Amino acid sequence: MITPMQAAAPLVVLGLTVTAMLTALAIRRSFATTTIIAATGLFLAAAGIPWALAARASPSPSLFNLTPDALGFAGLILLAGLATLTFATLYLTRDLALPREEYPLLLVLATLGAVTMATSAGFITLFLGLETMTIAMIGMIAYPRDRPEAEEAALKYLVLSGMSSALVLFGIGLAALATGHLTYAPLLAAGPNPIVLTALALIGAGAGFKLSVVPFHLWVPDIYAGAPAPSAAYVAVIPKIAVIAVILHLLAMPGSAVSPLLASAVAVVAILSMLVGNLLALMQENLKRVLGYSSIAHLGYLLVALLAAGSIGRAGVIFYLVTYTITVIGAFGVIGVLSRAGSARDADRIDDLHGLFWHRPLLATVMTLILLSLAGIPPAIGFMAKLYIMAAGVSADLRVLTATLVLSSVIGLFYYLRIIMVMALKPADRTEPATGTLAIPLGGWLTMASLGALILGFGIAPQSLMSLLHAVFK
Amino acid sequence: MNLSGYDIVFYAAAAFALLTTAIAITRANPLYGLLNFVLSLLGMAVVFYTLGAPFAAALEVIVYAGAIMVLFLFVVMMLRLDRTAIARESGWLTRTIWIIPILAGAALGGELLYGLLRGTGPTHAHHIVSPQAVGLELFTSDIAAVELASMLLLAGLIGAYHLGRPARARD
Repeated sequence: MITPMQAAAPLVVLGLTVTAMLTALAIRRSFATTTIIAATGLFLAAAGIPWALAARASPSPSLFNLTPDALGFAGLILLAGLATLTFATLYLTRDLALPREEYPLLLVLATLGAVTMATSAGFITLFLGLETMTIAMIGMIAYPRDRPEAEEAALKYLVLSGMSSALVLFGIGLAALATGHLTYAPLLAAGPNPIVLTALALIGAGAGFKLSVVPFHLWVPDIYAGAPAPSAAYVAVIPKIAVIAVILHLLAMPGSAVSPLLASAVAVVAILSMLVGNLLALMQENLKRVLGYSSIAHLGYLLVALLAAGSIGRAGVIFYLVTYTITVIGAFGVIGVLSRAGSARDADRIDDLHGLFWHRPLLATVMTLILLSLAGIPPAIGFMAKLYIMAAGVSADLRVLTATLVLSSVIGLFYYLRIIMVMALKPADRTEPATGTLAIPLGGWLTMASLGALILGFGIAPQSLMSLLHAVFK
Repeated sequence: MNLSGYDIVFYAAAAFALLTTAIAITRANPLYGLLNFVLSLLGMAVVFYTLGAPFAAALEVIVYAGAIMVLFLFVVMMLRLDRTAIARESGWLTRTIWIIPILAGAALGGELLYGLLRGTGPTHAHHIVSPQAVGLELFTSDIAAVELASMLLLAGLIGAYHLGRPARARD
């Protein structure tokens, strides 16, 4: 029994972590214990991936696809979850008038759902993972429930993701009708039959919702702005990794030729996402909204690499996804370390960062690196990632898409640089902004510093990240 | 296409389910909406039955129509709806609000209808799924999926517990 379960080690460890946390909570309520168990579980699940890679067979091939690629994405999800958990631990301080122990539990459950999605071999596990992730995330968004905007964001997410899940489920039903199976392979082999196309369109709409690409993007700014910073980071990153993992798995399967019709539809979505995301971000005064619109644009860039099929495009997608994960978690992390769950709102207005260079030079430096990376300026890693996507786009002769990418990146420069400028402004008087008095614990500094080091280090030596990715993803 | 008795039952039940769902979402009084939704679930149960899944049909009646919807009814009755709530709800259902959803729905429905009429897939398979088959599948090959479903329910439970618990100072 050991050998077949070996490949599923991350899933098993996450399941055991949930059980251990529940047991610990039943004995005594302690935020520290719960968080330590959660962090240990996430870490062990990630550390078990090399061991799982050595396994020969999947324990249940009709449910789980435990190939090196899927496990690689699972590792990215687990590490991103661990980083978010660190920020959440600092963010949920004692002054929150609510019990804090459920947050790590919800985070581990959502991560379990995301890992299930990323390693799914069929629609059963895909849908179960999707729902586990979504429902746990709703709890995370509404966690500081004394904030009206958090509850509003959670309610919006509940209704809209319920709608998108219904579309996915309808698509799965049609796929089962057309093929008689609930695994991916028969659907791809079925050919361009109208039922199959409808099923793919419905499932694609659900994927588009989770990826927050135009025209499925309307929820993004409201929910990022309303959610507490660590939950916003989670919602912005984890579901996207899971969905991209499924899409790359489908594209790598034999007989999965993307039809020209589908490719042009995705191209339109990519162009609209790049333009709409960057244009709407220009006028925002709320940092979380800026990050929301910018994530729409970034997913548009990612779709360009996805369309540029072949090995360069595939490597470009994975490289960009890793970059996006590091930078977006870092950006929400900066908001997170400047805010506390007990206060009425997060420090998420651009004005809250006014003069950050003068009273928090280190944090401002990390934030500058993050913004440079998002804008795609060297020496940050975002530059290499964007370069990679452009190389993929040019090599696949996607002229319109690559031109839009360049144009919208230039528009994007404006709002990223504007934030850096606000941070560099000299404070007008000696009164500190609302966020100036918070002490940032050591854990916060360590996580921020390591994210900054990753952005700079991989930006200067991208080859190290490339060889790491090559080692995991074939 | 020659219709057998089962086909007629299938289409009639499907039409009934669609009609009652449409009525359910257009009622200003949630009580009527819920009662219509119960009827729609019963229609769905008949659809499952004609498709050869008597077990799913029984579950639909017992779990959804029987247990869950009755719980909903209890909650709605306890909320003590009065005339002002009904008036407010009907104020939301203005005539213009229906235009875009109806057009979009009609477009999608037309496409689906076209696809299904042209499609080569089986419209409904006459292959009976017995309760034993469901149980065997769930507890042998799909046992991991059952475990995952329990995690899904746990996530919902914890979220609802946190959001629903009365506010008090931390201990």
